[in-house]
Amino acid sequence: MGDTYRRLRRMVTLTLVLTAAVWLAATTLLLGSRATIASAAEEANPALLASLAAHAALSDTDRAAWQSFRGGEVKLTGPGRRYRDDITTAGENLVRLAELDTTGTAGRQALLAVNGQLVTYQGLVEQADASYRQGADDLGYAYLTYSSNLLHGPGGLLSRIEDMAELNRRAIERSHTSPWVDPGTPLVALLAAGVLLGHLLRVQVFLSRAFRRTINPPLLAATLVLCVLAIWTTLALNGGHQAFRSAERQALPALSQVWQTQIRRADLGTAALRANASRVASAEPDLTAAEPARARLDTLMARALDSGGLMAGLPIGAVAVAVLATAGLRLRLNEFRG
Amino acid sequence: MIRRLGPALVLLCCLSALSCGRSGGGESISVLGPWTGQEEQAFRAMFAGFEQATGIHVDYTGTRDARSVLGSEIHNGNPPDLAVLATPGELRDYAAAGVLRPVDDALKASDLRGQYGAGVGDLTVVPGPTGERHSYAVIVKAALKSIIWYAPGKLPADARIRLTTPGLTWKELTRVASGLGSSGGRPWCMGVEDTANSGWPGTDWIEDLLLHRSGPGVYDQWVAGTLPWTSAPVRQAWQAFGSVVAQSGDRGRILLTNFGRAGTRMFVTPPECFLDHQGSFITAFYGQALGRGNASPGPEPDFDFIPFPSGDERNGSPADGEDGDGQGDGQGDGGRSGAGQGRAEEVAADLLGMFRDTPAARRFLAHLTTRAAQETWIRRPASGAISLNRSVPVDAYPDALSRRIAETLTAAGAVRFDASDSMPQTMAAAFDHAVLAYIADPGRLDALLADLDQVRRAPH
Repeated sequence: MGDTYRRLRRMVTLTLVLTAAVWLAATTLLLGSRATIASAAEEANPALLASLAAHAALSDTDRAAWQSFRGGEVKLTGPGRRYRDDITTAGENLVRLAELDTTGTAGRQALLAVNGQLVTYQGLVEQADASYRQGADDLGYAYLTYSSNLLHGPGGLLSRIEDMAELNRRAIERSHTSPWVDPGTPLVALLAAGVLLGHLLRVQVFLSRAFRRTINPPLLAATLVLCVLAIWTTLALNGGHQAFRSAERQALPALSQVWQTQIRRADLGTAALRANASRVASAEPDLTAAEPARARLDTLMARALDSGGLMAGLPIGAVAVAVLATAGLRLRLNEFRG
Repeated sequence: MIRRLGPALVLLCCLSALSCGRSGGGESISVLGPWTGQEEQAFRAMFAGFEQATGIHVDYTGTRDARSVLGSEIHNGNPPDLAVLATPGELRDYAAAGVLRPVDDALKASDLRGQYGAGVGDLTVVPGPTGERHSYAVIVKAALKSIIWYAPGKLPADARIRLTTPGLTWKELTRVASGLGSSGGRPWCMGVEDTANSGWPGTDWIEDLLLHRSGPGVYDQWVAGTLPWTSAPVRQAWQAFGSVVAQSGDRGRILLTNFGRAGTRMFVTPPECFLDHQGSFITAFYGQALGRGNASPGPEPDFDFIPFPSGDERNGSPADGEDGDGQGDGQGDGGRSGAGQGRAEEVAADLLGMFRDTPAARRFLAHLTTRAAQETWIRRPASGAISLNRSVPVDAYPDALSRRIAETLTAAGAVRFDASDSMPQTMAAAFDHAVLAYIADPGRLDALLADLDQVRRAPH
């Protein structure tokens, strides 16, 4: 009696420890991957998109200013409404970048520099405006060229914003290589569940031999719950990771591409206006063109973050496994007491 | 996964150990400056030995926009320990506002005067918040501005001889320049574009003309805001500049040509222009244009310089070729206080100011003024940097051209900071704009000078 009783007690203890380990491993993996995905969804991705949106708005600001000066509207309306709207859009995105603060000291200093340069840029456009209104067209043209050079030149406003975008791209790259979203990560949960499963099967076999019963129903139920829990965890983690990879490797680049296209369009428009003194109209970039791509990215990121109730399911399932397995073993322990 | 996590854990442990070691073992100072790339390497070389010798870690942040970053950090109440100041005007503003700490205790004013000479040492002495004058910065490096560059191989032989004849006057220079105009290219290379700072190459012209034709006394009055812009010496300097602009080609092109590229047109065949008025730092641009990178000029240099000529000592009148309109107020040469005391030279300098007075910051400042630290930067080929420290020997410079520039500065009877850098920032901005407006339309000189006087009289 003594040996079997003690062995049953050890089996209860081991079952509880292994169940806790499975719960702990699965929960850690789930929280780790959610934190990585949430960081990308709520910080790095929005920061990259804010820098691209600011870049596109400022590129269009320059185009709009040239359009207004070349078209002659400047003498009545200054650099124009589109210019002012673009400046506002760029400013809002820069504020968003500052709020997100994803790139540390380097990003903060770049942002300070960008804000300073943006004020300088507006000052140069105002000087161009004032000069044109006074009839000093050559001087106005020179100031407008300086403002454009400040935007597009080496070390200029747009290259600073591109630097910030690059810092955010690197942060996103780091999240791609995080072990928490590695395709092999769910195997860790599966491995832990496999160890517990092996233990439960070993217990089942021991009980059938020691007590001459074919099957222990509570233990069988615990085994089935464990299998369901392991499959659920693996599917949820895999599904989240796949959605994250699709978001980061397809949807985000596609959205970036849309912004780059708009930026190129604005820059080509500016180049045409700078080169041609006649009253040419340039094609306006569509700053709302990114909406469909952004919606796809948002959908995928939401899917990546959705654990399908696993956060609640894990503790409930783990408790169920522990209670059922313990109940199955306790039946045999009670036989000793009886 | 374990393979991935393992190195991360090891790295974490190492970083923790390092950070513990640093915070417990050594001091650290933060320095903000505009130098990046090769300039940053040169600056880091200046303090590498200091870090080894003292154990003080220098946390240098280099950004081209150091000025605006510094402004924001001061505004947020979190300035670095030390920062490079873009202009003496900024030095004066920050000292008066009480955010800069005096450095004369840290450096011993007498030592500084010994090393830099009384004139140069006093360049950083400005009033503090109580009006008491202290030294508020050290000069890390300088550039000589009173220089006219030419390409010896592209210049007609007689012009070259006349230019390099000792005692060249402004009048003679304008004659030589006029002669060059008939040989195909433009006499002067000029470009005033520098994005947000456009116009300064023109202000440098006017400053040098005033300094060398009217002397340091008049120059000082003008910088201090006590000499009107409409006064005869200042007006004549503008008119002389106007005559140079008229010989430099299309005005629209001058406005749009970058200052760094303007002089490189000397090196094309046939040359598009012959003379370039620029500071000693321009050699880096020439080197790039000639595809030399940082290589020192060879024994037969592609470019050489002459010091900015003095005014015509015989009569003090505007030189030939100028469209003087005789509307001055008769002050003429009254302020030529530098005459007879050696040449006056205009310099630009990078100043390092102290925003947090700590023992480590003081030791760092003291180190930067030493001969060894100063030599570290100037020894780098094609840096264009000059040390104002008189204990730095001329043979410390890497090539003959740099040595001659240093000798020119050492021999100066008077050294003055770039005037527009020294003026209040509003005045300096107005000066830049007026230069651009004058180039675009020289007929507006009277109105522009009157506008500048209005800015001068306004409280800053």
